[in-house]
Amino acid sequence: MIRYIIRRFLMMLPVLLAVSFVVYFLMDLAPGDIVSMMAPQDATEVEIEMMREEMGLHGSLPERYFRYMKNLLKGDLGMSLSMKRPVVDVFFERFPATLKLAFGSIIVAMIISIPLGIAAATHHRSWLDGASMVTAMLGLSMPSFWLGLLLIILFSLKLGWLPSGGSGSFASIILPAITLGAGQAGNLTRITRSSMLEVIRQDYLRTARAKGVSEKKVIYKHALKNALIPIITIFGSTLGNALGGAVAIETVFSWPGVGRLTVSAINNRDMTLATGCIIMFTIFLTLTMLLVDIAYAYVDPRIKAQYSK
Amino acid sequence: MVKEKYSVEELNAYKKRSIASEVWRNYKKSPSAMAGLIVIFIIIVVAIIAQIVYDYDVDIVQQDIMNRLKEPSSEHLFGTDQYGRDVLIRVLYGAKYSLSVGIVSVAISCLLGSSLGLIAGYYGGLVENIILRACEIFMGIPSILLGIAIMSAFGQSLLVLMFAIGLVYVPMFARTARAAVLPVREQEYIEAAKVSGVSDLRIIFTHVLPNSMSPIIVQITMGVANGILTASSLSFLGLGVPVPAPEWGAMLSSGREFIRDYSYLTFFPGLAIMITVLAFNLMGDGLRDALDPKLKQ
Repeated sequence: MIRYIIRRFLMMLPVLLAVSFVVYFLMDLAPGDIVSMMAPQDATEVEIEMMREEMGLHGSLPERYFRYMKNLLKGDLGMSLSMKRPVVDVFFERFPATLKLAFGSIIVAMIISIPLGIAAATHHRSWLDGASMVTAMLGLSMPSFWLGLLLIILFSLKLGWLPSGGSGSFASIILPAITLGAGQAGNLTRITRSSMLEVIRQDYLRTARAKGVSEKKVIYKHALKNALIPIITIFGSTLGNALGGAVAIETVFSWPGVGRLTVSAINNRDMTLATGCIIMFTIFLTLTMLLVDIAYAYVDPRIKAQYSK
Repeated sequence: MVKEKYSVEELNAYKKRSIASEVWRNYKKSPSAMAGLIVIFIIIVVAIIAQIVYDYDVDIVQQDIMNRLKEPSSEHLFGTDQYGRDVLIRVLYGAKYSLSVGIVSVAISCLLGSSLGLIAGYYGGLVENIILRACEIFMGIPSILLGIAIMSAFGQSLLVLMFAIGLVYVPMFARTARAAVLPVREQEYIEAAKVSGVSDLRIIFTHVLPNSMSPIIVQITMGVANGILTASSLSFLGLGVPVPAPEWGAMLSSGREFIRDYSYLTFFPGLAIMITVLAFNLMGDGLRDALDPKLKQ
């Protein structure tokens, strides 16, 4: 198990280097650079060249990238070009907001999807099953930013119950979390249903029923526990989707998270900030996937046996 | 009464029926899958008719300040936007952007991704390792951020958008195709083909691909749905098809300014996106069940 974890950690390194290269290269291709955006209009060639050097943007692309990579390997993501502050500081200042939104959305998704998925599975092929599958499909097919705008129209503008933006109070997270959670709920409902359907057919449930355990207990104690295993495994990708989806949602609700930060960094051609944010995103996602795999091993001894091979 | 002897023609006819028409027979059984297919058909027909009936310069982008921001009425069913353009006509005309982005980008990612996946799954070993690691790298970056980075690197246009989304979903196809190939790789008929001296390329195309098609086909329809959603998010963020083209995500984004008083401007384009994506998702679900009835629960 320990060896498996160490191997996974070592595998992260080349992935991160490659991600940094891809993003750095793409950002370099983008027309217009930050130096000419920030330089005063009457700046001379020499002054611009000096600014370039100050920002560490002098030299050819390979030179610049290697300089960047050398610092990266030391764990230094550099300074944000537009904010003149370390990328790590800027990122972690905004990261809690995104994390709060992502977890909020997952909680919303679970509150909706687990009961719905169980209901669909236990009432297989009834109207309840059909209705929950239609709901799930709608959640999957709706553009999240559109749902966000509709919720703003209804709850902020028409009814005036909830704020349409900002992050000051608890009320302000409700709409963004529902918006982001709805899409995840679609996926989770379908997975809960199919994993529940599979478990319901197992022999141990028949045994439980045969020895007279009440139906409620059979479903919530014996079945749900086993059906939850696949739901845990997709937690990693759910969180990944939530973080990715947060980019558009943060824009809709002017939520001060890293999604919006990254988009504006890309638009401002702030190479270090954009690359740094995406690298941090990737580190966070890979770590989550690893944690999920470890958690999975603890929940299901069959998997644990596989890792130690 | 069971017939004991079949003529060669009868057997051949049975064999022919057994592949595509079997799938179609299963597919037809699901009303939601059929609904998806019919809606997709209608959207395609509407998109084509709109190209013929409406003139881009006159009906789609020309401004008419006298008629700006008219609420939906019998004259303008979906109302008019801030430049006095009819929202219904723009939504109908805009179908072509979402459809073409969805379809072309999936074609790109399917061709590239499935080939990589087939190669990875068939050869195994180092090649497989390299391809899988490369996929991991691209999947580590949230797709929307990768899309934004590609769009800003190559500039905003319909073509770049197709290419960007196509590239973003390559790893997904590669992984699907590889997973589909793995069980086929171990089959005896592959070994038999190898022993009899058939070239690798031919084995991949005549034996491996047909036997691992189903998951790829399902991924294609789901891919169109995802592609349309991602494209509309990019346009919504101002990084997709440039204005004044009536791309649904871009229309939504420009309607957002008027959300307080003219919410229909954001409502209709979003509804169009949802219906299209829903139709492709329903079709994907139906195809999955039809291709592999065992999976259906």
